[in-house]
This record gives sequence, C-alpha cells and structure tokens, in this order.
Amino acid sequence: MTLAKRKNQTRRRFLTTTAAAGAVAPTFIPARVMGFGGAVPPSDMIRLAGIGIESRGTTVLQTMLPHPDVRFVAIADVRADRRKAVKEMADQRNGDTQCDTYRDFREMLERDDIDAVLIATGDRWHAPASMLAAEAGKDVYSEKPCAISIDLAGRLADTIHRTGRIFQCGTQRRSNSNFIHAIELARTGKLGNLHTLHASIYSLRDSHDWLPAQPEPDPAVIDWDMWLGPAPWRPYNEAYVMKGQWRGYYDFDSGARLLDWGAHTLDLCQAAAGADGTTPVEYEPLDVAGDNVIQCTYANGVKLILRSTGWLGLGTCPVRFEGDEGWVETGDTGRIAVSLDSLRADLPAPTIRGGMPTNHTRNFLDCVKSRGRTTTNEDIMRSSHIACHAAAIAWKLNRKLTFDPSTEMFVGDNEANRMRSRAARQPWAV
Amino acid sequence: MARIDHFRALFLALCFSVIASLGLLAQDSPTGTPASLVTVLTSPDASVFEKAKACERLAIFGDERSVPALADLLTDDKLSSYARDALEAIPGEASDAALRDAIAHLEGDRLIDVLASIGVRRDAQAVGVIAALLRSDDEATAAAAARSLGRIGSPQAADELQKMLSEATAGSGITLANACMVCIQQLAKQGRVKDAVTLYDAIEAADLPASIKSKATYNIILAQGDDGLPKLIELLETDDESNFRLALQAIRHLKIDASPELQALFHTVSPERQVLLLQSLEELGNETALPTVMKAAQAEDSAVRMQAIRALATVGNETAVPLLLEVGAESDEELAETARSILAALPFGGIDTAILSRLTSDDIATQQMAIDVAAQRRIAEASATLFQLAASDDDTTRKEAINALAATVRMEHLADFISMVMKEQRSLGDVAMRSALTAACVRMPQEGCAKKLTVELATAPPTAKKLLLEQLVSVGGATALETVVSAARSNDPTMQDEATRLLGEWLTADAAPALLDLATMLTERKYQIRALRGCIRIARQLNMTPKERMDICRKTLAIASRPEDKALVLDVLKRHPSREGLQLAEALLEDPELRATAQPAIRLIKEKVGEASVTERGL
Repeated sequence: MTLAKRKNQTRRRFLTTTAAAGAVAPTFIPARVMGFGGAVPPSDMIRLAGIGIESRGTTVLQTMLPHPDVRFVAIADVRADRRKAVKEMADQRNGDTQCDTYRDFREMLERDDIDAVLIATGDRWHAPASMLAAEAGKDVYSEKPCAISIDLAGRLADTIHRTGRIFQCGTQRRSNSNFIHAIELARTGKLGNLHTLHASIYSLRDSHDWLPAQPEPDPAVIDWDMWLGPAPWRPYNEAYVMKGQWRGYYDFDSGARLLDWGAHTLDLCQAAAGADGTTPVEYEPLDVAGDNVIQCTYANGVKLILRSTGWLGLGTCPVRFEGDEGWVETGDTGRIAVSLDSLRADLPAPTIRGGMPTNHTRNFLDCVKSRGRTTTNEDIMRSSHIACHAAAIAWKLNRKLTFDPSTEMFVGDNEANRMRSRAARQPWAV
Repeated sequence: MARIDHFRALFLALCFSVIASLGLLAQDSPTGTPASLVTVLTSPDASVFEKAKACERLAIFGDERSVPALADLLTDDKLSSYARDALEAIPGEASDAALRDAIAHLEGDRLIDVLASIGVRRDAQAVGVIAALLRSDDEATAAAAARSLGRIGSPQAADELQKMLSEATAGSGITLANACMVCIQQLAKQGRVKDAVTLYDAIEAADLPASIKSKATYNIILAQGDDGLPKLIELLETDDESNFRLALQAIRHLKIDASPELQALFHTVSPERQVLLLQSLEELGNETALPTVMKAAQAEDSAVRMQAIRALATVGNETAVPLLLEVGAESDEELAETARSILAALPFGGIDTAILSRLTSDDIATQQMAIDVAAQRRIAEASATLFQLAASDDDTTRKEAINALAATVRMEHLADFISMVMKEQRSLGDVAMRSALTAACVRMPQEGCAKKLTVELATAPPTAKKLLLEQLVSVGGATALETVVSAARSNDPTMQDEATRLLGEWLTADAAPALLDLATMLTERKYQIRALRGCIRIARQLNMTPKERMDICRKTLAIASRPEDKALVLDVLKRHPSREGLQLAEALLEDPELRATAQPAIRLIKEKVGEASVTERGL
C-alpha cells in the first residue's frame, strides 16, 4: 500500500475552508464517535471546566456557555471571589448548583469526566496549565499569550502533539470575517506581490521591580503561592492579583507586553504571508522616537513591521498588508480600508468586533468533537508566538538579531539565546 | 561602630551601582560586571530583591565564574528558581557539574528543582545519577527523575527508562510511560528513530493500561513518519475505536494523502466511523473521493449526510452542484445552510446560471436558497430579479432580496437601491436597512458612491439624512469628507450634530484641516469642542508624518482655550515625542493650569527623544 504525502493547500481549499469558518453552522457529530485514547465523552455534551476565569475569561466563557452541547462543570481559581462568580454564572446556565469549585486545578484535572478546559489565567500560567491539562487528557482552549518564552511555546506544542489533544490558541481574530477577508486579499494575489506587513503592538515595557510587600492573605481567599505558580517568588501585593497590575512585569508578562496585541496581529501577518510553521529570520529594532518599531524580515525578503502608532482609525489590533498593487488595513471595528476601488468589490460589511471569540470558540468545540485541527492550533501558535518573542528579545537587547526557524535559535548571539527560556518554580517545571 | 558604618556605606554604594547596572533606575545603561553581581549574591547584607535581580542579570551575562555563588542559592526557597534560571542559561560544563553535584545535597522540592534544570540542559552525563533516583522512596522525586531523563532524551536515558518499565507499579507506570513518550519525541527529533522504537516496544511489552499504550502507538507513528505507515494501516483496520481514531489523527499530523485507503474502508464500517472518514477525506481534498462522498451525501444517517455535504467543499466538482442545489433547499436548516455555503465557495461558473434560473422558482424554499447563494456569490446578474423580488408584498422575501441586493447591486443601480432602503426603513427596520446599505456602499468605488450619496442627501427626508451621512463615513474619500463637512456647517441642527459626531470618527488625517476650521467657525460651543477633539484624535491616532502631526498640534493649541483640551494635546506630544513637540510642551509650562500636567510629560518626552543611546532595555 503506497501513501503519498499530501499536496500543498490549494487556493480553492483555502477559500472554501475560510468561507466555511465564517459561514457554515457547526457540524453536529455524535460524541459517541469522538474522543481520543478512550476518553470518549459519556454523552453528546462537551464537559468543560475553567482555570483562572476573570474578565477576559468570562467573555470567552460567555461565548461557550450558550451552546447546547456544552456543560460547564467545574472552575479552578486561586481567588475565592472568582470561584464563586464563575460558579454562579455556570449554575445559572445549567439550572442547578452542581458546578464544582477548586483552588488547585490539579485536583480538578484528575477528574475523568472533563473533556476540555478553558485557561485564562495570566501569561505565566498559560503554558504550564495547558501542558498539565493535556497530560491529564483534556483538550485546551488557552487565552493568549499561550507561552511566556520561546522554549515554552515549542514545548507546549510538543506536548499537545505527544498527548494527541486538541488545542486552540485564543487568537480569535483569525476567525473574524474582516481579518479573514484581509488575509484572503493578501493570499490570493489581489494586492500583487506582497512586500510589507504591518502589525500593531502595545508600547513596550519590561519592569523588573517588585511592588512593596504586603501581608499574605488567607490562601482560602487568595492563594498567593498558587497565583505565582511557575513564576519566581516575590512578596505579595494585592495589586498584582486584584487589579491586574501584573502586566508589564518581566516575571509575569510575555515579551515586554509585545505579545499582548502581537500574539494576535503578528499571527494575522503570518497568515497573510502564508508563513504558518515558520518565522521571520531577522529582527531589527528601529530608532523611531516615541514608538517601538521592530522590523522583521522573512527568508523571502517580505518585511513585517511591528509598531504601535500611525494607523488608520479602524480600531484596536490593526494590521496592514501591502503588495506592489495595493494594500488593505483592518482592525477591531470590523471595518476594512483598501487602496483601490477594485479591491472594494467583495468587501464584507462589519459584522463582529475583534475581541469577540464567538466563531473561534465554536471552532474549538467542533474540533473537540471531530478531533480535527483548530483554526489556531498548536503549530500556528508555536510559530507566531516564537516570532513575537524573538522580536521582543531584539528590542530588549536593542540590536539586530538573526534567527533560524528550523532550530528555533538565534544565530551567533549567545545572549539572545539565553533569553529563549526561563526556569519554572517548582512544582511547575512541567 | 564607625568601621561598620563605613562598610555599610561602601556596600550600599556597591548595591546602588549594581542596581543601576540592572537597569532598575530609569534608562540607566547597565554597566555591572558578572563579578560585581556575584558580590551581591555572596553578601550577607544584600536583600532578597537585590540577589534576585543579580541572578536575572547573570542569566544573560553570567559566566562560569558566577556558577558557585549561584549554586549556593539552590537551597534557598525564595531564590532557588532565580539561581536556576541563571544556571540553566550559563553555557559550559561548570553549570552542568554544579547541578549534578547538587543532587547529592538536596531533597524535596529543591531536589526536584535541580532535576528539572538538568532536564532543561539535557545533560547526558547526569543520566546515571538521575537513574538512581528512579527508585526513590519519594514518589515526587522518582517522577521528577523520570521526567528529567525523558527530556534529556539520549539513548542512555532511554535505556534507563526502559529498564524501569519492567519494575513499574500501577501508579508509577503511567508517570514512567509519559516520560518515555517525552523521550521518544526527543529521540525522534535527533533522528534516533531506532532507539525510539526500542523504547516503544518496551512500553508495549509492559503491564500498562491500554489507553497509555494507544498514546505510545500514536507517538511512535508520528516519530517514524513514512516508516510508521504499516502500523497506521493496521490501526485503521482495527476493531478498537480509540485506535481507529488514533490512526486518523496521525494522518492529519503526518499530512498523508490516504484517500484511497479511507475510501476502501468506507463501506465496511459503521456510520460513526463513516463520519470520521468523511472528515478526513474533506481535509485531504482529493477529488478521487467524490463518488464515495456523493453516495454518502444521500445516506439515511443524518450525521453521515451532513459530513458528506461538508466534504464536497474540497472534493466536489461540477457534478456535485445539482445535489447541493437540492440540499440547499431542504427543510433541515443546518444541512441547507451548509450546502449553500459550499455552493457559495465552489469555483464553478455553472453555479451562477443555475442560481439565476432558480430566483424565480415557484417553490419558496428553492427561491430562498437561490437568493441566499446569489448574495453569497455576489452574482451581479441577479440584481434585476432581486429588485423585482424586493417589491414583493411578503416582508420576508422583500427583506431577503434587499439583503441580497446589498451584496450584488452595481454602481449604476446604487441610487435605486438607496431609494429602496430609505423607503423600507420604517417597515423593515432601521438597523436592518442600515446594515444593508453599509454592505452595499463599502463595496462600491469610493468617489462614485460618495457622489451618489451626496446627491441623495440633498433631497432625502430628515429621517434618512442620518442614515446617509453614516454611509459617507463608511465610504470615506474626498467627496464624502466634503459632504459631511458641509453638513456640519449647515444651519440644520440635526445635521450639524450628526456630522460633527461622525467627523470625530473619520479614518484619515485629511479631515484635520476641516475640523480645525469648524472649531473656530461653528457658533455652538458643543460643536466647537467636538471639532477640536476630533482634530486632536487625528493627531493622536492616525497615520501622518511627524511634521504634519506637529502642525496639527500647534494649530490646535493656538485655538484651544480649555486646559483639558490642551492636556489632550500634551498627551499627543507625549505619545509621539520629538524635539519640536518638546518645545511646544515647554511653552505650556507658562500656563499655571497646565504646569503640573506638563512637567511629567516634558520629562517623558526628553527621555524618549534621547532614547537612541540606550543599549539594552529592562535588563
């Protein structure tokens, strides 16, 4: 029996599958035929649990709960108030009081009646929690950034492969029609030969400070040690936990905040360039006053510019794709701007705001059932996250770096390579 | 006493220089050497914070001479992970040796720490000493040792794991097998597939749960690639459900075109398995699967049928079109909607002809299908019929036809469409008609569309003017801008209100001069402020040259009278720092109401303007 390697994706396949992503109702497939390694769900219902659900997690969860094939059965959170709030939301939806609560998500993962988990902690926890969940046989929807270092992005993808789990990175813009359309214009040659992609990022900040120490709370109310998790020890301050002020700290955030938007926008550029599975090979911070501009270059010479300013007013998370015959720019308002009237002919009207993961979460749920590959699976996450981290390291060192996507190492720069990973505090070195 | 004070002063001076070197003081360039950082680590007076920061810096710049001081921190509950971060990163034998040596002196979590770090460094020399811990009485230590060997992933590590498999208990077996699978993955990455297969064989032979063995089989197929195909075929033909699914999942990951084999199996398996096979056939997209898929699309089992229809998206050709047209008009909404979306995406011209002929079908379901697909395919030739349908007495048909026209109408009929939408605003709903008009306008040539809207605006009833102004914003361009600015200048308060609001959302910077002008010429204070703020928004957010931005800021400051508006300009100057902007900001120091806001802004601009000298950031 001879089996040939599958040919590359054709344009038709791209168009039909992306069209289906936006337009086709989810396929209902009896769960009795799905599952992996014996983990067949006991009914057609996907039994979902959550780890660390606060504001963003709640938005994501609210797009999952209304589906009739989802039952949210348990929440694990280091904060008692969040456990209570999420349980109330789930119980209200389920019409009972049976949503279980856990302080330590490891206990929750031991249950064999949970099919999938939604992970929306802070960046420090996303990869270790995802890996532990996958090892425990759960499928994973992880908010972005999914990994706090180059090394962890790779190891997370390896773990998903090894365990055969379904993984969706919470970069939902790939499932939203305006971004899909912009990518299609780039991929189908309507902009001519693509030469420059632009991705918006936050202004970068990388603090190594600690906030002043405060008395640690009762772990039953806020489990500080568990909140820190794999991050190195530091004294408690409630602002980290209660006010979201962990952002911008090296120990907790990803790539000096570059991945906050970059995980989305660079990922969209990867799709537009047809670069999933690889990364740019050069990263050069440019000297532009008032902006953190990083110029990345793919092996074929296409440029990818990361910048925070100078966009049309199309909303947050804008991207722009430029070819030698035209350009397209879009953002979270759903509106699309193009350079030529000829590019306007098929423009979709704005339908969904960029932050809403409605299509994206449904895609995940469908793949939990079908065992198919999600829109932003572990391999797509791996390359776009690694590219983001490489850009952030170039910005931190303030010098041009060369990167080898095949080894996921910088070329000829030991200091940059030493920034590829971080040690995890025990017992979280998964 | 004096001597102690002297030492303390010297130490503090040292700490200060080290902290400065760490970049903890704003914008200071790091100058600390690894030796000075080691001094901090060994000082009894240095705080936990100072030692932690020294470790962070040594992780990037430390060398072998830093290793002993770092290794001493491996017993420290607070600093162990900081020290490991550096030890994991520092190249060379010294770090490996320090971590290996630490095994003998550590226990509990700190020992587990070190085992993890050795795994990260993949220190093959540590295999022997770690293997001894596989038999540790402490379960957590034994598990950490197994994980560490898995990550090292050398043939020797594989041997040690393999030896333990035969001794594994029910509890330890799963942990050990998982470590083996990490090892298989590592071996495969190194091209040591033979070693990986040996380890896999040991898992197969061990007393382990079937689910673990299934995972191992999946992993070895991925590791072997083409050589794993016989095993994959075996799995496809197995009675075991989980193994069957494993085989399909492996096909996905290995990207193998197994269409002929999947088709051969298709008629021998249950409907549940047929659904899975159809999904795989859809992903593979090989048109040779079409006969199988077409037959399945007429199956009795609804799940099989649905998946077959979906598969036509990639394996279908012209011969599938009649079936899709039929299914697209069925009463099962989900199935029909799927068929229509496939019809919309397939690249066959014959579909357009078929749809056009069905637009006038007597059968309502067929007609609705045709309207929907005409819209999705943007069939311009459908417009004439759709205009007729849009005059229907039936609200549903009328609404569907107008929505379809939004996707199909051409420029020459845009005026008719605008009139129709305005007329239907009341009966079909404002929101629905606004969406339809936006959907049409965003597709049109920019200037032509703006001119049509401008013409309609002149004679539109008051209730429709707002709707038309909104479309001009969606369309953009010079004519649209001119029209909206004219509306803002008009004597009609409703138009003024709407137009000044919309100008505040303009997408391009060419609205700035008009907004500056409006800010001075409009008489209503509310609209003056709105125009001014619209102008500041443009300077803050939109794309333009630094010179253009400064020009807007200067002119805005010249006409702004309220401190809060001037503060917004300061924010722009802060966000886009430049030497010219600095001068503008410094001029605001003279304003007593702005001094407190201006001072920190000026400091920040100065820092940013001088940032070119920074060699590293945040390190």
